Amino acid sequence: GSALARGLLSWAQPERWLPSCSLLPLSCIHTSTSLQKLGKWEKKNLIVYPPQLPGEPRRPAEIYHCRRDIKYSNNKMWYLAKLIKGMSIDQALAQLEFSDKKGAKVIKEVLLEAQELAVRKHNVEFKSNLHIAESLTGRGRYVKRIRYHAKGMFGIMKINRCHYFVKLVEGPPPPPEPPRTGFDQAKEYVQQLRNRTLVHTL
Amino acid sequence: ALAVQAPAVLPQAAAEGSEGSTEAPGLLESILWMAAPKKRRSIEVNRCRRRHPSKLIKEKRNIDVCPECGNLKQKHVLCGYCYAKVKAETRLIRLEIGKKEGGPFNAPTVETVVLYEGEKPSEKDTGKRIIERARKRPSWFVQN
Repeated sequence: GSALARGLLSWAQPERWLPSCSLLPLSCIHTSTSLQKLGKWEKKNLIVYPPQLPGEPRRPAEIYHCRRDIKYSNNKMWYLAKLIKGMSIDQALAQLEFSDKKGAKVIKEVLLEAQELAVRKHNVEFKSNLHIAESLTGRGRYVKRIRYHAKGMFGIMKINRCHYFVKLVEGPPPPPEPPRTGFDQAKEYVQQLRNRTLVHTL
Repeated sequence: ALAVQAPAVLPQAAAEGSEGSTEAPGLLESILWMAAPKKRRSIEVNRCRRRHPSKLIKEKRNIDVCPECGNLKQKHVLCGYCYAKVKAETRLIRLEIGKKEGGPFNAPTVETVVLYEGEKPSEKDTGKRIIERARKRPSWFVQN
Protein backbone atom coordinates (compact mmCIF):
# COMPACT_ATOMS: atom_id res chain seq x y z
CA GLY A 1 0.00 0.00 0.00
CA SER A 2 2.71 2.47 0.97
CA ALA A 3 4.90 1.38 -1.94
CA LEU A 4 1.94 1.94 -4.28
CA ALA A 5 1.35 5.42 -2.86
CA ARG A 6 5.05 6.25 -3.21
CA GLY A 7 5.01 4.98 -6.78
CA LEU A 8 1.96 7.10 -7.55
CA LEU A 9 3.50 10.17 -6.01
CA SER A 10 6.69 9.65 -7.97
CA TRP A 11 4.65 9.30 -11.15
CA ALA A 12 2.52 12.33 -10.42
CA GLN A 13 5.35 14.81 -10.20
CA PRO A 14 3.98 18.00 -11.67
CA GLU A 15 7.47 19.24 -12.65
CA ARG A 16 7.78 16.41 -15.16
CA TRP A 17 4.49 17.34 -16.82
CA LEU A 18 5.46 20.84 -17.86
CA PRO A 19 6.08 20.54 -21.58
CA SER A 20 7.64 23.35 -23.56
CA CYS A 21 4.28 24.63 -24.81
CA SER A 22 2.90 25.35 -21.33
CA LEU A 23 4.29 28.88 -21.45
CA LEU A 24 2.17 29.74 -24.51
CA PRO A 25 -1.24 31.38 -24.02
CA LEU A 26 -4.28 29.32 -23.11
CA SER A 27 -5.72 29.22 -26.66
CA CYS A 28 -3.48 26.32 -27.71
CA ILE A 29 -4.71 23.93 -24.99
CA HIS A 30 -6.94 21.18 -26.40
CA THR A 31 -10.26 21.00 -24.61
CA SER A 32 -11.98 17.65 -24.14
CA THR A 33 -14.72 18.41 -26.69
CA SER A 34 -12.66 17.03 -29.61
CA LEU A 35 -13.79 13.64 -31.00
CA GLN A 36 -11.89 10.42 -30.49
CA LYS A 37 -9.16 9.48 -32.87
CA LEU A 38 -10.59 9.36 -36.44
CA GLY A 39 -10.62 5.88 -37.91
CA LYS A 40 -9.42 5.06 -41.41
CA TRP A 41 -12.93 5.03 -42.83
CA GLU A 42 -13.77 8.46 -41.44
CA LYS A 43 -10.53 9.88 -42.87
CA LYS A 44 -11.57 8.80 -46.38
CA ASN A 45 -14.14 11.59 -46.37
CA LEU A 46 -11.39 14.18 -45.97
CA ILE A 47 -9.51 13.55 -49.24
CA VAL A 48 -9.77 16.45 -51.69
CA TYR A 49 -9.14 15.83 -55.37
CA PRO A 50 -7.55 18.52 -57.54
CA PRO A 51 -10.01 20.33 -59.82
CA GLN A 52 -10.93 18.35 -62.92
CA LEU A 53 -9.88 19.45 -66.39
CA PRO A 54 -12.70 20.64 -68.70
CA GLY A 55 -12.61 17.54 -70.92
CA GLU A 56 -12.71 14.89 -68.16
CA PRO A 57 -15.92 13.03 -67.32
CA ARG A 58 -17.46 14.11 -64.02
CA ARG A 59 -16.12 12.22 -61.02
CA PRO A 60 -19.10 10.84 -59.05
CA ALA A 61 -19.29 11.95 -55.43
CA GLU A 62 -18.28 9.36 -52.82
CA ILE A 63 -19.53 9.46 -49.27
CA TYR A 64 -17.98 7.28 -46.56
CA HIS A 65 -19.95 6.74 -43.37
CA CYS A 66 -19.71 4.29 -40.52
CA ARG A 67 -21.02 3.52 -37.07
CA ARG A 68 -18.79 2.02 -34.40
CA ASP A 69 -19.49 -0.39 -31.53
CA ILE A 70 -22.97 -1.51 -32.50
CA LYS A 71 -24.25 -4.06 -30.00
CA TYR A 72 -24.80 -6.83 -32.56
CA SER A 73 -22.86 -9.78 -33.88
CA ASN A 74 -20.42 -9.28 -36.74
CA ASN A 75 -21.51 -12.45 -38.53
CA LYS A 76 -25.20 -11.63 -38.30
CA MET A 77 -24.62 -8.07 -39.51
CA TRP A 78 -22.72 -9.41 -42.51
CA TYR A 79 -25.88 -10.95 -43.98
CA LEU A 80 -27.59 -7.54 -44.00
CA ALA A 81 -24.51 -5.87 -45.47
CA LYS A 82 -24.44 -8.51 -48.21
CA LEU A 83 -28.15 -7.92 -48.91
CA ILE A 84 -27.83 -4.22 -49.65
CA LYS A 85 -24.51 -4.33 -51.50
CA GLY A 86 -25.01 -2.81 -54.95
CA MET A 87 -28.59 -1.61 -54.45
CA SER A 88 -29.86 1.90 -54.87
CA ILE A 89 -30.38 3.69 -51.59
CA ASP A 90 -34.19 3.70 -51.84
CA GLN A 91 -34.31 -0.01 -52.52
CA ALA A 92 -31.92 -0.67 -49.63
CA LEU A 93 -34.03 1.40 -47.23
CA ALA A 94 -37.17 -0.46 -48.34
CA GLN A 95 -35.57 -3.87 -47.77
CA LEU A 96 -34.22 -2.87 -44.37
CA GLU A 97 -37.51 -1.42 -43.20
CA PHE A 98 -39.28 -4.75 -43.53
CA SER A 99 -36.43 -6.94 -42.33
CA ASP A 100 -36.97 -8.49 -38.92
CA LYS A 101 -33.34 -8.30 -37.82
CA LYS A 102 -32.03 -6.01 -35.09
CA GLY A 103 -29.17 -4.79 -37.26
CA ALA A 104 -31.59 -3.66 -39.98
CA LYS A 105 -32.78 -0.76 -37.84
CA VAL A 106 -29.20 0.35 -37.16
CA ILE A 107 -28.15 0.11 -40.80
CA LYS A 108 -31.22 2.08 -41.82
CA GLU A 109 -30.24 4.90 -39.45
CA VAL A 110 -26.70 4.85 -40.81
CA LEU A 111 -27.93 5.06 -44.41
CA LEU A 112 -30.25 7.97 -43.62
CA GLU A 113 -27.42 9.79 -41.84
CA ALA A 114 -25.13 9.18 -44.81
CA GLN A 115 -27.79 10.45 -47.22
CA GLU A 116 -28.17 13.61 -45.13
CA LEU A 117 -24.39 14.12 -45.09
CA ALA A 118 -24.24 13.63 -48.85
CA VAL A 119 -26.83 16.32 -49.52
CA ARG A 120 -25.49 18.82 -47.02
CA LYS A 121 -21.73 18.51 -47.28
CA HIS A 122 -20.77 16.52 -50.36
CA ASN A 123 -22.61 18.48 -53.05
CA VAL A 124 -25.02 15.71 -54.05
CA GLU A 125 -27.97 17.11 -55.96
CA PHE A 126 -30.61 14.39 -55.64
CA LYS A 127 -30.74 12.30 -52.50
CA SER A 128 -32.22 9.36 -54.42
CA ASN A 129 -29.42 9.36 -56.98
CA LEU A 130 -27.12 7.39 -54.68
CA HIS A 131 -26.20 3.76 -54.69
CA ILE A 132 -24.31 1.60 -52.23
CA ALA A 133 -20.89 0.83 -53.66
CA GLU A 134 -19.48 -0.91 -50.60
CA SER A 135 -21.04 -2.10 -47.36
CA LEU A 136 -18.83 -3.87 -44.86
CA THR A 137 -18.87 -5.01 -41.29
CA GLY A 138 -16.01 -5.23 -38.87
CA ARG A 139 -15.49 -6.78 -35.49
CA GLY A 140 -15.75 -4.40 -32.56
CA ARG A 141 -14.22 -4.81 -29.13
CA TYR A 142 -15.49 -7.92 -27.38
CA VAL A 143 -15.78 -8.21 -23.58
CA LYS A 144 -16.07 -11.42 -21.62
CA ARG A 145 -18.74 -11.82 -18.99
CA ILE A 146 -19.86 -14.63 -16.70
CA ARG A 147 -23.07 -16.41 -17.54
CA TYR A 148 -24.51 -18.18 -14.51
CA HIS A 149 -25.83 -21.72 -14.99
CA ALA A 150 -27.59 -24.09 -12.59
CA LYS A 151 -25.79 -25.99 -9.83
CA GLY A 152 -23.15 -23.32 -9.39
CA MET A 153 -21.74 -23.83 -12.87
CA PHE A 154 -20.79 -20.89 -14.99
CA GLY A 155 -19.85 -20.17 -18.54
CA ILE A 156 -17.87 -17.30 -19.97
CA MET A 157 -19.89 -15.44 -22.57
CA LYS A 158 -18.61 -13.00 -25.15
CA ILE A 159 -20.44 -9.70 -25.65
CA ASN A 160 -20.22 -9.14 -29.40
CA ARG A 161 -19.96 -5.72 -30.91
CA CYS A 162 -19.47 -4.76 -34.54
CA HIS A 163 -18.79 -1.79 -36.74
CA TYR A 164 -20.68 -1.04 -39.94
CA PHE A 165 -19.11 0.81 -42.90
CA VAL A 166 -20.91 2.07 -45.98
CA LYS A 167 -19.74 3.90 -49.11
CA LEU A 168 -22.38 5.74 -51.12
CA VAL A 169 -21.62 6.82 -54.67
CA GLU A 170 -23.66 9.23 -56.71
CA GLY A 171 -25.40 7.83 -59.74
CA PRO A 172 -27.65 4.89 -60.59
CA PRO A 173 -26.55 1.44 -59.37
CA PRO A 174 -24.34 -0.46 -61.80
CA PRO A 175 -26.09 -3.27 -63.71
CA PRO A 176 -25.57 -6.69 -62.07
CA GLU A 177 -22.92 -8.88 -63.62
CA PRO A 178 -24.35 -11.63 -65.81
CA PRO A 179 -23.70 -15.07 -64.28
CA ARG A 180 -20.74 -16.95 -65.64
CA THR A 181 -21.94 -19.46 -68.21
CA GLY A 182 -20.26 -22.61 -69.43
CA PHE A 183 -19.54 -20.88 -72.71
CA ASP A 184 -17.56 -18.15 -70.91
CA GLN A 185 -15.58 -20.75 -69.01
CA ALA A 186 -14.84 -22.62 -72.22
CA LYS A 187 -13.71 -19.42 -73.94
CA GLU A 188 -11.37 -18.62 -71.05
CA TYR A 189 -9.93 -22.12 -71.14
CA VAL A 190 -9.23 -21.90 -74.87
CA GLN A 191 -7.62 -18.49 -74.33
CA GLN A 192 -5.37 -19.93 -71.63
CA LEU A 193 -4.30 -22.69 -74.01
CA ARG A 194 -3.53 -20.12 -76.71
CA ASN A 195 -1.44 -18.01 -74.29
CA ARG A 196 0.99 -20.85 -73.69
CA THR A 197 4.42 -20.13 -75.07
CA LEU A 198 7.98 -21.46 -74.89
CA VAL A 199 10.13 -20.03 -72.14
CA HIS A 200 13.91 -19.85 -71.76
CA THR A 201 14.43 -20.60 -75.44
CA LEU A 202 15.55 -18.75 -78.54
CA ALA B 1 -46.89 -77.40 -2.28
CA LEU B 2 -44.65 -77.66 -5.38
CA ALA B 3 -47.24 -75.91 -7.57
CA VAL B 4 -47.35 -72.98 -5.08
CA GLN B 5 -43.54 -72.62 -4.85
CA ALA B 6 -42.89 -72.63 -8.59
CA PRO B 7 -44.31 -69.15 -9.35
CA ALA B 8 -42.15 -67.66 -6.58
CA VAL B 9 -38.98 -69.07 -8.21
CA LEU B 10 -39.79 -68.35 -11.86
CA PRO B 11 -40.06 -64.50 -11.77
CA GLN B 12 -36.59 -64.30 -10.14
CA ALA B 13 -35.09 -66.47 -12.88
CA ALA B 14 -36.89 -64.41 -15.51
CA ALA B 15 -35.56 -61.16 -13.96
CA GLU B 16 -31.95 -62.49 -13.81
CA GLY B 17 -32.19 -63.71 -17.41
CA SER B 18 -33.36 -60.32 -18.70
CA GLU B 19 -30.62 -58.51 -16.76
CA GLY B 20 -27.91 -60.76 -18.06
CA SER B 21 -28.95 -60.51 -21.75
CA THR B 22 -29.60 -56.78 -22.14
CA GLU B 23 -27.66 -54.45 -19.85
CA ALA B 24 -28.76 -50.82 -20.19
CA PRO B 25 -25.46 -48.92 -20.68
CA GLY B 26 -24.82 -46.16 -18.20
CA LEU B 27 -23.86 -42.66 -19.34
CA LEU B 28 -20.15 -43.23 -18.75
CA GLU B 29 -20.07 -46.06 -21.30
CA SER B 30 -22.44 -44.51 -23.84
CA ILE B 31 -20.10 -41.50 -24.18
CA LEU B 32 -17.88 -43.72 -26.31
CA TRP B 33 -20.67 -44.06 -28.90
CA MET B 34 -21.65 -40.34 -29.11
CA ALA B 35 -21.08 -38.34 -32.29
CA ALA B 36 -18.08 -35.99 -32.14
CA PRO B 37 -16.29 -34.00 -34.81
CA LYS B 38 -13.22 -35.74 -36.13
CA LYS B 39 -11.39 -32.75 -37.49
CA ARG B 40 -11.60 -28.99 -37.07
CA ARG B 41 -13.67 -27.43 -39.83
CA SER B 42 -11.49 -25.08 -41.81
CA ILE B 43 -12.59 -21.49 -42.40
CA GLU B 44 -13.05 -22.26 -46.12
CA VAL B 45 -15.54 -25.03 -45.33
CA ASN B 46 -17.25 -22.82 -42.76
CA ARG B 47 -17.55 -19.99 -45.27
CA CYS B 48 -19.05 -22.32 -47.90
CA ARG B 49 -21.75 -23.26 -45.42
CA ARG B 50 -22.39 -19.80 -43.97
CA ARG B 51 -22.48 -18.02 -47.32
CA HIS B 52 -24.57 -20.57 -49.19
CA PRO B 53 -27.42 -18.85 -51.10
CA SER B 54 -30.02 -20.64 -48.99
CA LYS B 55 -28.61 -18.90 -45.89
CA LEU B 56 -28.39 -15.40 -47.36
CA ILE B 57 -31.29 -13.03 -46.72
CA LYS B 58 -33.63 -12.98 -49.71
CA GLU B 59 -34.72 -9.72 -51.28
CA LYS B 60 -38.40 -8.94 -50.66
CA ARG B 61 -40.41 -8.16 -53.74
CA ASN B 62 -43.75 -7.41 -52.03
CA ILE B 63 -43.07 -3.81 -50.98
CA ASP B 64 -45.32 -1.06 -52.35
CA VAL B 65 -46.13 2.57 -51.68
CA CYS B 66 -49.19 3.38 -49.56
CA PRO B 67 -51.59 5.49 -51.68
CA GLU B 68 -52.79 7.43 -48.62
CA CYS B 69 -49.61 8.63 -46.94
CA GLY B 70 -46.84 7.70 -49.38
CA ASN B 71 -44.84 5.59 -46.94
CA LEU B 72 -43.71 2.09 -47.80
CA LYS B 73 -45.92 -0.85 -46.95
CA GLN B 74 -45.96 -4.58 -47.56
CA LYS B 75 -48.67 -5.66 -49.95
CA HIS B 76 -50.51 -7.97 -47.53
CA VAL B 77 -50.05 -5.77 -44.42
CA LEU B 78 -51.66 -2.48 -43.37
CA CYS B 79 -49.53 0.64 -43.76
CA GLY B 80 -47.65 1.20 -40.51
CA TYR B 81 -47.97 4.97 -40.55
CA CYS B 82 -51.71 5.00 -41.23
CA TYR B 83 -52.26 2.32 -38.61
CA ALA B 84 -50.32 4.32 -36.01
CA LYS B 85 -52.39 7.42 -36.90
CA VAL B 86 -55.67 5.54 -36.40
CA LYS B 87 -54.36 3.90 -33.22
CA ALA B 88 -53.51 7.30 -31.69
CA GLU B 89 -56.96 8.68 -32.44
CA THR B 90 -58.64 5.53 -31.08
CA ARG B 91 -56.66 5.87 -27.88
CA LEU B 92 -57.95 9.41 -27.38
CA ILE B 93 -61.53 8.29 -28.07
CA ARG B 94 -61.11 5.52 -25.51
CA LEU B 95 -59.85 8.05 -22.95
CA GLU B 96 -63.02 10.10 -23.53
CA ILE B 97 -65.13 6.97 -23.09
CA GLY B 98 -63.28 6.22 -19.88
CA LYS B 99 -63.95 9.72 -18.55
CA LYS B 100 -67.65 9.36 -19.39
CA GLU B 101 -68.02 5.94 -17.83
CA GLY B 102 -65.99 6.84 -14.77
CA GLY B 103 -64.93 3.33 -13.82
CA PRO B 104 -64.74 -0.29 -14.89
CA PHE B 105 -67.81 -2.37 -15.77
CA ASN B 106 -69.93 0.72 -16.59
CA ALA B 107 -70.30 0.10 -20.34
CA PRO B 108 -73.87 0.94 -21.44
CA THR B 109 -75.96 -1.48 -23.45
CA VAL B 110 -76.47 0.98 -26.34
CA GLU B 111 -74.23 1.78 -29.31
CA THR B 112 -71.66 4.56 -29.29
CA VAL B 113 -71.30 7.41 -31.77
CA VAL B 114 -68.24 9.69 -32.00
CA LEU B 115 -68.93 13.31 -32.93
CA TYR B 116 -66.32 15.91 -33.71
CA GLU B 117 -66.49 19.72 -33.53
CA GLY B 118 -69.57 21.29 -35.05
CA GLU B 119 -71.45 18.04 -35.61
CA LYS B 120 -74.97 17.31 -34.46
CA PRO B 121 -76.37 13.83 -33.81
CA SER B 122 -78.63 12.79 -36.70
CA GLU B 123 -82.03 11.00 -36.46
CA LYS B 124 -80.32 7.61 -36.73
CA ASP B 125 -78.27 8.33 -33.58
CA THR B 126 -81.24 8.88 -31.27
CA GLY B 127 -80.73 6.11 -28.71
CA LYS B 128 -76.93 5.93 -28.92
CA ARG B 129 -74.32 7.15 -26.46
CA ILE B 130 -72.48 10.20 -27.82
CA ILE B 131 -68.73 10.72 -27.35
CA GLU B 132 -67.49 14.24 -28.13
CA ARG B 133 -63.97 14.84 -29.43
CA ALA B 134 -62.69 18.42 -29.38
CA ARG B 135 -61.10 18.49 -32.80
CA LYS B 136 -61.96 18.63 -36.48
CA ARG B 137 -63.12 15.34 -38.00
CA PRO B 138 -60.11 13.56 -39.56
CA SER B 139 -60.45 12.98 -43.30
CA TRP B 140 -60.10 9.22 -42.96
CA PHE B 141 -62.93 8.89 -40.37
CA VAL B 142 -65.97 8.90 -42.64
CA GLN B 143 -69.27 9.90 -41.08
CA ASN B 144 -72.22 7.63 -41.90
